[in-house]
Amino acid sequence: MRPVKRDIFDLMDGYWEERLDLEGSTPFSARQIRTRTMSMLKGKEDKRCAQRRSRLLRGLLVAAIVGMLCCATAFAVLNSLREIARADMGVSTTEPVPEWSEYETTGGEAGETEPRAELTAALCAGERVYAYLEVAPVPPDVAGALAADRSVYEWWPSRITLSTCSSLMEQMGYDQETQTALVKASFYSQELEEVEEMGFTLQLRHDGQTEQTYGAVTIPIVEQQAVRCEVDLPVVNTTDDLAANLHPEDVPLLLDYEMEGRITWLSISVGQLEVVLEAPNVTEWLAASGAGQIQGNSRGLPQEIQEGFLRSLYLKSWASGVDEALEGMTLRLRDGTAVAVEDLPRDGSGGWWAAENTPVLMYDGTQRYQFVLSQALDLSAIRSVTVGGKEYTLPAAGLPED
Amino acid sequence: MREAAMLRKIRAGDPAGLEGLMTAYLPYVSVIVWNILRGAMPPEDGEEVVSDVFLAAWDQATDLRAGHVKGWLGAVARNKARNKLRQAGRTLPLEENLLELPDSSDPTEGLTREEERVQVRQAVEALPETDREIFLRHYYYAQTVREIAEAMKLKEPTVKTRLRRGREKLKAMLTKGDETGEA
Repeated sequence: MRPVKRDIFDLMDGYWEERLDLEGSTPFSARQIRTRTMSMLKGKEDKRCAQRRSRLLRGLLVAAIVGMLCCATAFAVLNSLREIARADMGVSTTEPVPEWSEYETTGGEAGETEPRAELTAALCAGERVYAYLEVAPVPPDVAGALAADRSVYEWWPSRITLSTCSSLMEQMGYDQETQTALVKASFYSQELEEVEEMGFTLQLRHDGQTEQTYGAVTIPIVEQQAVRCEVDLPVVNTTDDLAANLHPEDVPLLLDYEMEGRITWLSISVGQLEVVLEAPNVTEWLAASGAGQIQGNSRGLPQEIQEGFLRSLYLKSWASGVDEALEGMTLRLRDGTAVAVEDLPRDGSGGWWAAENTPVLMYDGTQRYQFVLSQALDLSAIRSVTVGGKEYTLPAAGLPED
Repeated sequence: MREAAMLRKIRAGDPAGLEGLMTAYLPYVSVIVWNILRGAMPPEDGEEVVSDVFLAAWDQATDLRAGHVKGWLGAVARNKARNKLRQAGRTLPLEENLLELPDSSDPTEGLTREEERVQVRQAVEALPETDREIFLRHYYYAQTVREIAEAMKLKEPTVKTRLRRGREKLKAMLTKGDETGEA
């Protein structure tokens, strides 16, 4: 019997605990939590009617797709699911980007009873991979519940072969005749840049408990191409940038300061744009800004928590300067057209965000900011990048240097 | 306000029910979320998670039972905070948190998930009372060894020893091996 390593914290999910009186303080503001909760609640209630209309439209759309698919052969059905995957990732049918891979699957027959989850396509984008799976059989009522709301049923990746990663599972399509769902599994982990494949076991969960295990899936990880060029963009960090992240009563504690960093590198790959900011380190910033006097919500808590709070302020204070420096960045394409980076399809968080995976360098002054895309970017189509009033011609796409 | 009244109000769409729940359980949920997230992200992100736990209670009020709301909120808080931590690419720094067990994803091998849940409960319930509290504080509530030692007025090595006993008991139960679980 092959042993597996199981996390005790996860094993305790099935334990029902309500006897212990848990004491302890936190840096959380009860007032902020209450305010946010009631505000979100009001928003939810206001949107309820709109959501009902939206669900109805989605149901009609699913019905239309199902109706179309029911007239087709199983082969056509699975091709259609694959086309949904291509469309979702913005991949050309005729000239897909090199990081996009498609795989033959075995299923697609009506009346399947053996649970299966098969990889049909994947996009490997550095620290991220987006995999599309054909999953069957999935009963229509369950598929409908998954399409409308993930609070009761949810797709769940268990036994992920990476030691740390974040994941998101979404149902993208469904064929009623073959009871086949198209499930998109998105993973984010630094380890994806080091491994040749990753795996997980797909489960369907109901109210947090496993209802069906559909099987193990292996995703081959292919290397991604990237283009990289030196740039020189000033980034300014001032008292106002820091004050914008503070409670008003803390602002008078700040010193009047202005620091400058520079964006020195720009790289573009299939799934993101990334820049490198070279800036004064956190110690220099604390001395110049006077931010060490600020305790915010960490007031009265251990030193390590206060340090974490100040480090988060350090990053936030540079973020607005980075946004300003990169505002208006435009990609010029080889066909003569141009597209603003702001208009590119991006993931839910949107915008430029500090990459969190190099904490030592971040606080030493070398920060990376990423603009993560939700669809594949074809590097071969980009001729140059214009930002800060300068045009930077890009070299030919190639595999990244170590 | 009693739990039953709070739940009635929530099911009727009255926000006063949710405010009642927050009055009763905000500190409890906050501590769980904080124990799991710690300094992995700014406090504001943790506040969002706590808020999301109570919003989940509003959305899923039909699943809640008077007298068992605390357990439900605790389980949801653990789940949401852990997901948030994983999204940030972080893991919980617990004491020797990995157990080598038979593969339970294959129904022909090892225990089924339901059997596993029962065995976990039996293993934890079988621990002496103090050991059980230590085990739950660490592996359910993610308190650090130092916090547990301070809260229970024990020495840190004692806490570690008792955690080890708990791990051994759990492993023995889940591998259907030595039922005593003694080292």
